[in-house]
Amino acid sequence: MKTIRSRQSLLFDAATLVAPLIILCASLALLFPVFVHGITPLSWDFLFSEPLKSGRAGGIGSILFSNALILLVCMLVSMPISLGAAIYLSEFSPKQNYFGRIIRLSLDVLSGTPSIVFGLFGNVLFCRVMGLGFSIASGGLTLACMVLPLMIRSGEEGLRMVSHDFRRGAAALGFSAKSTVFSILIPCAAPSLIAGFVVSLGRALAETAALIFTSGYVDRMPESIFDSGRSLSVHIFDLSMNVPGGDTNAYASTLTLVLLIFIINTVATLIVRHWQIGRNLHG
Amino acid sequence: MDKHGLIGKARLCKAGVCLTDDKPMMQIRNLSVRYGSQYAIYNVSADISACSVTAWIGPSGCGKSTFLSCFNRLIDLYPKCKASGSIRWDKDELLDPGINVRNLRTRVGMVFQRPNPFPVSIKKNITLPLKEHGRSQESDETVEKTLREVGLWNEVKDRLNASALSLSGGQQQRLCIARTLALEPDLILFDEPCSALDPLSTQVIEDLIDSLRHRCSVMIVTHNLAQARRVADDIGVFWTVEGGFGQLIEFGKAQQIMEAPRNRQTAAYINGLVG
Repeated sequence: MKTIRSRQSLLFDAATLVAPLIILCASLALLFPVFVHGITPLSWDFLFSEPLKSGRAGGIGSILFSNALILLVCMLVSMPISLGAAIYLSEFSPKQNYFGRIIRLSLDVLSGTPSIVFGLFGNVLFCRVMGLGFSIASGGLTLACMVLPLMIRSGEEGLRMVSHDFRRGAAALGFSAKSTVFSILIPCAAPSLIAGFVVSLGRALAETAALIFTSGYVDRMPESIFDSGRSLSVHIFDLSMNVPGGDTNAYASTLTLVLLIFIINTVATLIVRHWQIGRNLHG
Repeated sequence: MDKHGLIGKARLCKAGVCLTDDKPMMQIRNLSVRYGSQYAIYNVSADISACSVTAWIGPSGCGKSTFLSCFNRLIDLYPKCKASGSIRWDKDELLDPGINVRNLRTRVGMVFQRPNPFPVSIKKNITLPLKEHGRSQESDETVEKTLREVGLWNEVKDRLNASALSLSGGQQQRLCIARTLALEPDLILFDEPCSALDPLSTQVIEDLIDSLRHRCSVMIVTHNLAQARRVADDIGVFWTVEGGFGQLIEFGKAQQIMEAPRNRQTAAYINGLVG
């Protein structure tokens, strides 16, 4: 009896040790080659110079710039909409409210939609119907649709976590609903709102499929947001699939992308952690 | 004569208006509150005198806090909560759906059971409500004045920009009273203001309530009979009756309620036999 139990416990110990090891190996297997092949060509010059010969030579300056513009459009559009929706859902629509339930349901559907579907949708709506063509604006708007559910849900969660005592306190002091939201609730929920935005930024940065059909392939420096612009992830996809001899720069671009996402996620984690420490301190 | 030697005599309120004890400041008539179909309190009537401290006592769940929330219409926050009857204050009917609730809440302040200062600086806790009601220009002096009134000024004057959450529980509660006083209310509602505090902080808050009677009326809900005895001029006793709702079973001068209660249940409650 005793041996069976100790054998079981040994098995359990082994399993709990092996599982994280597998995860560690998987991420190393993924990141190691990227790092090894990508670190040599990576330089300031690579980051800021324009791609040459379809990206085989030169750098990724225009790509980073286009990508930054796409993200800017995405954030400028998605932030106000998601903040408004989050405020509506957490403050003005009780859980059983019919309209609120429909919105929550549609958010769930949206967040489960594959990004290629968003890409095709963006292509039809923004590129053709709205006449924006293959452009940074189309790409940014498509990404905005894609990150909305994530942003709204994290915003709603953040606002809901603000203690109800503050709402009652504000009401008892004669605060209007608007001032309660803007003077009390948003400042209280700011860390989680910011964290939600940063995580969405990372998601948008990593996106490929939604951008291929909307912001296009052009690797020149864009002159406005109505020009086509290639994102970093699309650049990596193109170099590795369509451009023979583009592997070296594909690795360097991948390393850049991985580092950027790592930085963004670290910032989000730091914000949330800082906030939690603050909360614990104050009970 | 009551403990201030003022029965029947004129009392000077903050506005300089003379009010006498004989004329009630507020008349509560047949006040009932229900959540959905369940009554929380039923058919409460009482006269509240000006510049007095009225304590509402009774066992848990007998509707005291709900009752208190009628005076600043905080019951409006609860979707299924409905009040009927009348609370007449001067010329205003507080339960009138058309009354300006925002203005009412500047006239009637409220301090809650758990201290709930906003998670901003100490100073901003007082300036935010002032700003909300378009009185930003008087901020700095009001901050000092109200913090002095609650005895917090010397403790915090060097760190007015520190987070209000860095204060102790008792200090937080005094800050909450200060921000309420900043709006110069005529009535302040205290909903068990000391139940989350230690005895020393409780003493400070009680002294504060005692000093407030010179500038406004006070209503306090408390579980603590000794506290009611210490601070109150008038006491109302709530009791849960059959049907699960609260009723006001006795209302009168504090001394009479404490020493010669007329109601059998009040007597048992005060002597610690029930409740």
